[in-house]
Amino acid sequence: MLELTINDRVVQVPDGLNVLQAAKHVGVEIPHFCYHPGLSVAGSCRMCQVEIEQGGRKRIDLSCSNAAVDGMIVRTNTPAVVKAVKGVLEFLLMNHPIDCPICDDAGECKLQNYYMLHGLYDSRLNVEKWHKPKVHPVGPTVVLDCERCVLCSRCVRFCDEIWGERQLGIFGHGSNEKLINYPGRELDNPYSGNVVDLCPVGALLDKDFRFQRRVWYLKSVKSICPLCSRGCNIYLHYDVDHDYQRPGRRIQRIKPRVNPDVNRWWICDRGRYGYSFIDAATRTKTPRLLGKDADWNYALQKAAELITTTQKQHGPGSISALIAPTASNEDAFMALRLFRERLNIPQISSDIPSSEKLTADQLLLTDDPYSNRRGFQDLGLGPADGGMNAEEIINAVKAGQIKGLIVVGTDLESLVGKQVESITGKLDWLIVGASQENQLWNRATVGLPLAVYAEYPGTFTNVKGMVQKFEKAVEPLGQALPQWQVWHKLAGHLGADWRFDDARAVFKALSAGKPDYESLNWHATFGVDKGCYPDNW
Amino acid sequence: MPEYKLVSKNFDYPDQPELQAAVSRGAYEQWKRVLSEQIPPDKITEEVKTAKLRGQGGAGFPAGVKWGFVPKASRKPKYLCVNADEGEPGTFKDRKLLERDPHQMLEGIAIACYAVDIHTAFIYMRGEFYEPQRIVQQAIDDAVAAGLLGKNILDSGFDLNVIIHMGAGAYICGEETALLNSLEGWKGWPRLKPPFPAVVGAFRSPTVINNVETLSGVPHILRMGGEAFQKIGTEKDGGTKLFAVSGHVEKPGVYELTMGSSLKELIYDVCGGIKGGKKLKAVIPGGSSAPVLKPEEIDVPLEFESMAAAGTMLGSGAVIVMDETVSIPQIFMIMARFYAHESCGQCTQCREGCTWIYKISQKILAGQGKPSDIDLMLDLADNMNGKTVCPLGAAMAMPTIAFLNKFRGEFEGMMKN
Amino acid sequence: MRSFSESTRQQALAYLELYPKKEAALLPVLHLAQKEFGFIDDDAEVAVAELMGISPISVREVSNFYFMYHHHPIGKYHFQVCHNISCSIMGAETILGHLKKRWGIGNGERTADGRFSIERVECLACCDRGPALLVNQTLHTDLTPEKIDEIIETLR
Ligand SMILES: Cc1cc2nc3c(=O)[nH]c(=O)nc-3n(C[C@H](O)[C@H](O)[C@H](O)COP(=O)(O)O)c2cc1C
Ligand code: SF4
Ligand code: SF4
Ligand code: FES
Repeated sequence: MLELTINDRVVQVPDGLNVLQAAKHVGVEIPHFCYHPGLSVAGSCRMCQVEIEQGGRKRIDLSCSNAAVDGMIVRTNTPAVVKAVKGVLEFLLMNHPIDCPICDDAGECKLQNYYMLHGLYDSRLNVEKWHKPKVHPVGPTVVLDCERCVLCSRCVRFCDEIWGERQLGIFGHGSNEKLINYPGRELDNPYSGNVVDLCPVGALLDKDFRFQRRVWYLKSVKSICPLCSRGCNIYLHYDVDHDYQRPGRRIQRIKPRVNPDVNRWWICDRGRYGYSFIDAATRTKTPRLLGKDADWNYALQKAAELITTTQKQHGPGSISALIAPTASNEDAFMALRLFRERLNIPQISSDIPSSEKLTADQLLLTDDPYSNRRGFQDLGLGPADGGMNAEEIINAVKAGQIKGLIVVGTDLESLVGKQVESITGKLDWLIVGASQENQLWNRATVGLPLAVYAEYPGTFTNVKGMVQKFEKAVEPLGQALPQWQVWHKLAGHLGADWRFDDARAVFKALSAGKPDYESLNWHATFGVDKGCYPDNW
Repeated sequence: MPEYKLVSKNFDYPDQPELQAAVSRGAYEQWKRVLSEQIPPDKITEEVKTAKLRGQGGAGFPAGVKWGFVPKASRKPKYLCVNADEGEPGTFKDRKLLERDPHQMLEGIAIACYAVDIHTAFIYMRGEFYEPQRIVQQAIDDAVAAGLLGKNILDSGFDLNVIIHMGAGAYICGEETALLNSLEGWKGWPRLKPPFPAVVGAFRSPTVINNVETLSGVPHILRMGGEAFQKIGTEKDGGTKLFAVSGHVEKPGVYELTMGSSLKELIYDVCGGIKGGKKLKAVIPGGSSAPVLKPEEIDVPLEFESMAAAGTMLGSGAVIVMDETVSIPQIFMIMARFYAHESCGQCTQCREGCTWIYKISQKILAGQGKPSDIDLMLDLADNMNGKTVCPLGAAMAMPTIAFLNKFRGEFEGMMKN
Repeated sequence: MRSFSESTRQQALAYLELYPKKEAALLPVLHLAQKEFGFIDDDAEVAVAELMGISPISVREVSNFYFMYHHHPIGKYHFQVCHNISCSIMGAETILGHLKKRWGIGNGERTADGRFSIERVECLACCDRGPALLVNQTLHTDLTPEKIDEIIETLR
């Protein structure tokens, strides 16, 4: 810790911060454009100037490029500092198109926010503005407006330093400089969306989000990306009140949430843009019985009967369950409790080959598309825990040894291809839990519509064994239910009297005796934020 | 006031660029002595400190002190960068040193490298210097052939590789850290300091950057001794300085004077006064970045401190003399156009401010200026001044403030109606 | 797609060896490329990038930053006229006006026959002999319209 004085307040901050970070640490926001804690220091926007007093000598200097030092006196509000900062702002606005009403960044734009702060309402501009390319498709996911760009070079540094390949450059000289891609070569790295978060203005925007919502209508919850085993921390931004664009789409965008131990400030494009399944038309919304809609009680009653009958006739081993490790720890816990502990089903496997092949990259993406393989393993549902793996179970089905099969979170395409009959023909019944209609859904004896991660709270355990919680953003679609609740109810129909009021109760039960799990503070991450995302540096 | 010829001593011999001729006039004597007497490197640096040799590229930083900043313990290779970018408008002294006496500079380079334990020197030369490049390259080749540079120099075991690196037209590359980026094959964007080049410079290694003239003075320090060299000049500014005088004087050219000579005498005595006997209107005393002086202000000693006290700067020693026929708003526009053209575009204030002021200056010349434009420009200049990565922002702001304040009436005169 | 002649290629590769880091050879290699192709267009940038093993963006950032790299064909004789302070007060605009009148082209333009082009440049560091200009690599000083005409006569 070191002690410094910021705006006449004596404060203590951790070592190793620059002045800008130190000020932020104690709640003093210093305006800045080019500085970002995840990138090298450029020191070029000159917005972050403050007065620094050291050894009795005062100077106006950058807060981003000066380390906070014990005994330093920092002032962000002297008339000279305010004038200097205002001056920078005025220069930036000189060539800026000020098309805020049609800019998606309005509300999240630093230029706009600082303008409000400094109120330069009487423009002194008396010369023509430059014109530069607008609506330039800089890459498959991002659109660029060169006139809005303040040339902070954050996006350039992201490509150079974080992704490791030059894809954007600042070309030219002086005030006709232009940030853009190389002709014929796009901003197409698998992390390209991060430049949108980094861009302090509306110069780089997501095609996916373009003109979809005014950002102040967005609500936000903390979540975990379910699309690979890294478990990147994200915000889900949603809006269910303004249906004028993309009717039926509740989730509007995904933003990275800072976690220094997992994803730092970044997420990959796969995670960022891969959320449309949440509101897809193919979502399962109603329980099904023999291809027809049914109500939950009736469907579960039927399922209970099927299970009981088969077990009576053919023994516990005549039933098997395949559960993809995309489900939460709570889901897995409840499945195990029901199928293994209560029903003594010997063959339960989560070891289902994924039909999607991922290649890990140098940054975040792993080669495992399952978000919770590690959690399943920790809970006793790992590949080595069940005896048979999924392929062997399928072979047992084909051999007629298994009469009833429960399949959750997979369409089995990776195991049986499109030949669903090769197994359904051998089974007395098939119970399918799914959030999306798939090739099994309409052939299921009983179909159980499941909620997705955005619709209920829970935990995933990432590839490094970190237990991470995600929150509920929106209600489950239709009658869908979280998987654990389905097993909880089914257990009731099978005569059990379990009382798990909520996901937290399930988590408490599953974490008992597991230090990595017990240490998670369930309430600490809870809550709904309004509007823009707070990690916007 | 006499001229004092030290580094310009041999300018008038047409054969001076040739090795034989230069040697016959004493070239490389000090270098040979350094090697044969194995003078301790630190002693050379000390001598240069005693000599009060100031950087002649514009900033006037004491050369010996700069050399002393290079960390001795560094296990990285160290580099010397010779600043031959000479881009400051009005400056043409380095061209003369390169064209007329290349071996003097090469000897200075060799001694400096020896003092700081450097084995690679890059001469960063502005791209337009075709003729200087040919002459200096020939001089290097000759010196290498004679064993004065290159590998195992004069059997001393000391190696020195001297490489010319040509720029490609960008004034900013004269700024030392922009120069380093340019040398490394990048845009000439100045770097944030610290770290200073002496610690982290070219290729992330400790690097000394010195102007051509600074290095050309080094052999003379060894020849005369630091103290004698210092005594030629003033207490803080040792030795001499080359002044490049252009514009409305009878005899424009490069003149070598002792530090501390008077600007007025330079113009009226050495350069023969104002051309055609016209009246003096203004003098830019240290390159276009130096605030302009009015005729009544030119009786100042040419020395870094005195010039600063007079509200301007010695800079590169480029003196631009303007007579009564000159339109200051026109000169102001040319100056603003230059900085708007040359701003590297990195810092907000410089990138936008230079252009803004340039555009206003054009408006004024077109008769569309408003009196409020002057105060606006003064305020914009204040917002640029001293608030940028490199001094170019200030190099635009300071002369802007001086032109507008000192010749306000002339600007306002163009705004009638 | 442009490609270097073998001799230029060899020289460029030799430049890469000259520096502690090959990227440092970019300015000299671009000078070579301009000599070979006449100007630096996208194809030339890509050729340089491939030869040096760096990204075309790095090449373009540099080729667009420095004013001596041209992105369009210039004249066989490229007149680079200094228009900075010292040359201006000695008559640079007269020289520029004279060239414009003679060829009917302005700054950054080239005569229809491709022989001449004009570029305004900043200080050439020979202010005592202004107005000054460079014709390709040759410096001409103390210019007057008559002297300009004489120079042009010698350029056949
Ligand atoms: C915008 C700008 C342009 C400069 N141009 C030159 C130049 O052309 N030649 C030069 O020697 N120094 C130039 N300098 C000064 C250098 O940054 C540096 O101070 C000098 O090369 C150091 O050498 P010296 O100490 O021997 O003078 C320039 C500085 C600035 C800020
Ligand atoms: S596009 Fe955005 S992030 Fe990139 S330089 Fe411009 S303002 Fe900065
Ligand atoms: S002050 Fe101007 S020239 Fe210097 S670094 Fe900043 S923008 Fe570039
Ligand atoms: S200069 Fe500090 S944030 Fe840009």
